[in-house]
Amino acid sequence: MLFVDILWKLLEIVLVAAVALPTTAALLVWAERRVSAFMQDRLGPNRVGPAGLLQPIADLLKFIFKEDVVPGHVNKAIYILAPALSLVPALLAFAVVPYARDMAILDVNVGILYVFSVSSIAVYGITLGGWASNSKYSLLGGVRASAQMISYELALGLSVVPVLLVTGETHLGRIVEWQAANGWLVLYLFPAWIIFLVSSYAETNRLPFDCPEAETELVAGYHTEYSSMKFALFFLAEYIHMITASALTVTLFFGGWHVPFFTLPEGGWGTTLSCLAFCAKTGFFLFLFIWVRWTLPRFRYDQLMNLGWKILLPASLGIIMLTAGGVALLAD
Amino acid sequence: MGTRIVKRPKLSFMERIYLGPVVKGLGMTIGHFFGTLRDVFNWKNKKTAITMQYPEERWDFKDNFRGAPALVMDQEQRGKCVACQICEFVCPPKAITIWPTEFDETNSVEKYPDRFEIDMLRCIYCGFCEEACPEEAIFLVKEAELVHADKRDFIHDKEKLYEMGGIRNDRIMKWKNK
Amino acid sequence: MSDNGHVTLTIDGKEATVPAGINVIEAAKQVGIEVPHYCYHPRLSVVGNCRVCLCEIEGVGQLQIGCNTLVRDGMVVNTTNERVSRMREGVMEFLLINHPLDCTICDQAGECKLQDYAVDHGSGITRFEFDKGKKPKNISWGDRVVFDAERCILCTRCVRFLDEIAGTDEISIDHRGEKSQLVVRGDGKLTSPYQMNIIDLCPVGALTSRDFRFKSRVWFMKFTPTIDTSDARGCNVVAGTRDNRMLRMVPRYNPNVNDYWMSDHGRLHYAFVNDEDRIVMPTAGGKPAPYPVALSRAQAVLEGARDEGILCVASSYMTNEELFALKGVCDALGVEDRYFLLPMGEGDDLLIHPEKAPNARGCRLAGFRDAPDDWSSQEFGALLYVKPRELIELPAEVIERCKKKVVFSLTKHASDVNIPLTTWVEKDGTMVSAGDRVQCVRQGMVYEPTLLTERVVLDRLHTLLDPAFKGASTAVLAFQRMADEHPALDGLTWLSVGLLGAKLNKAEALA
Repeated sequence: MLFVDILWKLLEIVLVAAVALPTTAALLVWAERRVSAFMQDRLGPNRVGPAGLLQPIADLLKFIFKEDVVPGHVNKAIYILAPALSLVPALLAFAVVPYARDMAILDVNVGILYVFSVSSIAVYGITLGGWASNSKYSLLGGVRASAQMISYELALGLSVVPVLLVTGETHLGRIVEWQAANGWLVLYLFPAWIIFLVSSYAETNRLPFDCPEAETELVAGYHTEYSSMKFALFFLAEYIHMITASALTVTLFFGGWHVPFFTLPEGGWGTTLSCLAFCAKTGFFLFLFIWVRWTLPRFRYDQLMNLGWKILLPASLGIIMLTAGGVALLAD
Repeated sequence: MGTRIVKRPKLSFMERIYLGPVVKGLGMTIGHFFGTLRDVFNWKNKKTAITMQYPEERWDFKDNFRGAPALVMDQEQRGKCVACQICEFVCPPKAITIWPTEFDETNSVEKYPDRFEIDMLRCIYCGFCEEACPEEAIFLVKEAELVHADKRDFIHDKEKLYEMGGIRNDRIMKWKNK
Repeated sequence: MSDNGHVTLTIDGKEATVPAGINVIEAAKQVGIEVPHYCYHPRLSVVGNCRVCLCEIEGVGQLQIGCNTLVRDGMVVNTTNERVSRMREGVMEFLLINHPLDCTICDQAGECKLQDYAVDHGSGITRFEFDKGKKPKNISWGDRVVFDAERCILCTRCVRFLDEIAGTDEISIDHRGEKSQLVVRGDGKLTSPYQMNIIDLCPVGALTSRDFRFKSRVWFMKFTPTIDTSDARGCNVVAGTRDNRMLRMVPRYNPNVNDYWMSDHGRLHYAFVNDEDRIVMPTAGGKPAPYPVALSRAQAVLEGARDEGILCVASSYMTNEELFALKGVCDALGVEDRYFLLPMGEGDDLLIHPEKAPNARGCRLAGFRDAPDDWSSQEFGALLYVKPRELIELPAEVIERCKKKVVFSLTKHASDVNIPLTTWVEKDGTMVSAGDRVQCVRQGMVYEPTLLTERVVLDRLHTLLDPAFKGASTAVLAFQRMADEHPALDGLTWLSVGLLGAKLNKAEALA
């Protein structure tokens, strides 16, 4: 690989991982507060900057200047490692997402497998954070998180299998290209998308599945003992997870960068437009995340487990069977 | 005894997959979202009940609002308190402290508070002082925003209390006719 | 049914056998029925002008005043029935017609009979639609008593007291009818040394104390039954304190000592209790020292001077328990020269006693000798001196002849070890008043939480000198230990001394 290529790749990584994703996450925090406010007939943060847009910066300053408390009873090494361990997989998973036509940081054949393998590491961050805090609420939060994420990873993974069956691809870019050619997969695999969506909510610990940090039961769950920037990292990780999950939904079921009924021009403009289309679709799913959060109440823990093991898992297996059958029939 | 078995309603299939109610709920929140959004851009003709924007908009307190206690003067600028100390006695959190002293012999009231302090960190705004005051000298005024940077500023002294209370007309002017 | 000068009558359905010759109010009191009264007082002559004690005597047409109706055998009295209470309501209404609404600024509020009876027997409303009568207010009757003519209900208790008890006869009623008003004869200032008793006698707030004026409402105060320590009479008093400061004393009824009265001198004699200059921490070598440090220093000083001789001077303001604790210290040190200081002054034949300290008899009981008029020029190794709180001091040259000094004093005193004194309202104990009467003082306040009473301090010093000694934990136990040891106190207990005191075993005391 040429030196320039390496440099360009590095720049891309920096732009995406250090600029685009955290900025989006910060805006997402602001959006979450404003949207939730509007849904509750309030106005939300509207004082810092135009329409309160600089609120994330104020929040960041506050996080930086807060005292970084490390309680005496924690397992220090793991306690400090955990927030990073929670953030990094979220950033890594985004690497293979084709965020524009022919554009992805990492071009791997087994993109989907990569996504699942990386994102399953995220559970370590949360579980270890809860364990290392050495407090009962944190531990309970961590235990719940691991149980929940492992349970829903099954449904999540199985709900993607139909995609593989239909497209015959594991490369995310080519899955999008398949959709550009044959129509969005959500039209073929609507039930699988529903299962994917529900599981991704559980995977990102968002309402209605935020049992690991259920305030009314566990104070703040696994990050009870965290403060200042360490807490901010957990916070950031959750939002970047949301972005990754939305991006994957878009990529797998909603045609990625594809714009329907419109042929993208070749060259730079087409790429830019495709990127914008991808961002718009992702934006909608991020909004959906927020929208759902402020609409639905939290599931009880046993209900959560019931849903995962007794409904989503059999349902996704059934969908795989049906899809496989359909693919086999149509292939002939 | 005492136990009542509640039968859970039997849910139909559609109810059990939740999707219907979920969509209904989503519809409601998005309705509020757009309602508020519309009102934000058309602030003058608000239709939804957007919460009060506190520092700009404020409550119009009713007359019987129980804010901070304050001392009042009559229309002749006479401080009405005669330091009978009944409010000090009746005050449940013991927030009131009075040091009475004596007028010279020409003043028919004879007694007045030399110092009168209400510790607003102790005050519970119960209004017993106003209720008990036989001279109608202490009232809970509409002052509800007490913010100070120094704890000592929360101890309202006599000057501050009279300033907060202002003037209230007295129909009887009992001491004037002594 | 009358026997041994007793009569039997029925009051509100209760049968009562009472001594003949007493009036209905006293008879009712003996069966637990209170007949309201303003002008009647057990020690003053009966005038019957307040009319509030009206009772129904069966067989007598009109209602009769209880104060001027003597009991008869077989009398049937009603003090609460419909007729009586209607009459009382009427009397209260008359009394309140011209009474100003001064309760807010009146010191009597809270212990005012007019307030009490207005609640108990009044109608609660007034039908009087006209302007109330106006009379002078806030008149100074000398530097102790303030008079308010509007509040006065003309019961004449004050007139009768100064005439019959104090014997100075200084007040009379001027004008007539609605304009009636009390006046002081001569220059309008009272002179009697017992004049402040009329403040207690006044059932309303017409007479108030210049000293206590506006200091505190009575409902904030804590009242402690104790005795007056300004002279050897030991008048029984109730000490009123608030926030650990002494505010006033009023006499407490004790038929054996002071009846209902006390002298103004004793009543006003408490300023030193609240003195801001009082020391609240011991000093050793001029530096503040906690009690243990100061006491071990005192121990070193006293033991070091054992060979050269120690002079011990007690104060006649100390309680018996303290004196016996001091005696214990002296015994442990082998002190020979034990004296006490006693201030003397003027006395009269009513209540004022020439000995101006309460417990000279207790000092003698504990084996201390009266201080000689001319002290010998003997030199001592150390002085153990409990300085009297006032009036008298050890002559400076006597102090100088002692090399080292351990001094208990109320305010700062030059010495090697200076230990704070406490006043009599800060501790429990007993004193022997005139007539060899043992009476209790009781703790009503704490000047400063860190202060220890002299008894505790001296007992600890005793333990330092003699590790086998254990002090009594409370004054009650100390008194019991003392009573067991000393024949003059034999048979007395803290309870038998009680509120009214008890006689010393005279023969033993003299021995």
